[in-house]
Amino acid sequence: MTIHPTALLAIALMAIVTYLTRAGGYWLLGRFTLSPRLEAGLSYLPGSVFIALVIPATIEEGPAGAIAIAVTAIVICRTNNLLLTLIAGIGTIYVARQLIG
Amino acid sequence: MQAAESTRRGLFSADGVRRGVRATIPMGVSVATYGVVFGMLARQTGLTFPENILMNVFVLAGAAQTVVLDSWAYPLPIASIVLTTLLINLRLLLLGAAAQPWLRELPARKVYPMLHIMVDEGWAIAMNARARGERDIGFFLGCNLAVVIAWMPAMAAGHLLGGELGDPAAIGLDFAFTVVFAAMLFGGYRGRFDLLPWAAAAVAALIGWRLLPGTWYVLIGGLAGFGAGFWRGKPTANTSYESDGVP
Repeated sequence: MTIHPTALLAIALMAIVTYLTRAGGYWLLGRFTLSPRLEAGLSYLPGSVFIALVIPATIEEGPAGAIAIAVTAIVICRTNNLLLTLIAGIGTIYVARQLIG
Repeated sequence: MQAAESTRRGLFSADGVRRGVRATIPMGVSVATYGVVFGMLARQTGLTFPENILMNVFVLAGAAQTVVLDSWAYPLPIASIVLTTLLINLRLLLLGAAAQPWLRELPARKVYPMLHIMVDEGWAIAMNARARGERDIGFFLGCNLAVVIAWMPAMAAGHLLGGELGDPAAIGLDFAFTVVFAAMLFGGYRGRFDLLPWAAAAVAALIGWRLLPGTWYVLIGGLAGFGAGFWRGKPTANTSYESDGVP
């Protein structure tokens, strides 16, 4: 139940950059307009980071990982229910590991 | 909307806050669900309870926090953690920019503290209501407040109860991060125009993963997706948050 000094530093820096993005857009629009190109690019950042995380992790896991991610994609697109999707995705990896190894 | 003109000095009422909270309750259920999962993952990663609380009070950005947990091992890769946080949260620039014409009716000393709790889900509900004629800035605050109120106890409960699960790998939880990210990825799919930037991100991430140490491939993938979206330009602008599972 302690706070590690480097963790504190990381959290403080994360907090600063995050607040700057929250306040920054508001502040900037009082002075400039964002170009549509910049807006389009920014809108792709979260998705691109998710892809960058998912693909190597799935390759490392092998076929069981690919099956679990496919199930995850199908369930979230069909139901839009995060809890159900997590249960399906994690359940699939559990079962697929037993079957495929 | 002529009647709303009289509120140009910035209508901000407690009644608006209440209505905003009420409008956000259905969304609160899914926020709480994700909060529980985040709390469990944070504990599994090795964050202590006070560290987790600090992070959620001061950073308050679920997606970025989840991604960062993935590389949360001592010695902490601080530069990579902070850059990744920045990259994922750059989208918040858009949220603040879009809300500016509404919030500017309020004095800066009230707006800037309020922006700290501006979160995707609350923002989306508030902006949808504004498009339908809502003018009370209290409503904006209420929507975001409701998300925070749903998130915090759920996250804390997830952290405290997460230890009862035993070995994470034995029940597939070591793959939970990847499942969470995939769910957020596919859940955010807007249409075919997403495919080119996504492909660019995938290819760049794979190359970075093979060639570079650490987790730099995450940043490289993110930048490639940004670059492709920027290069292709306009078609997707503004559709991003309007249709994102918002009632």
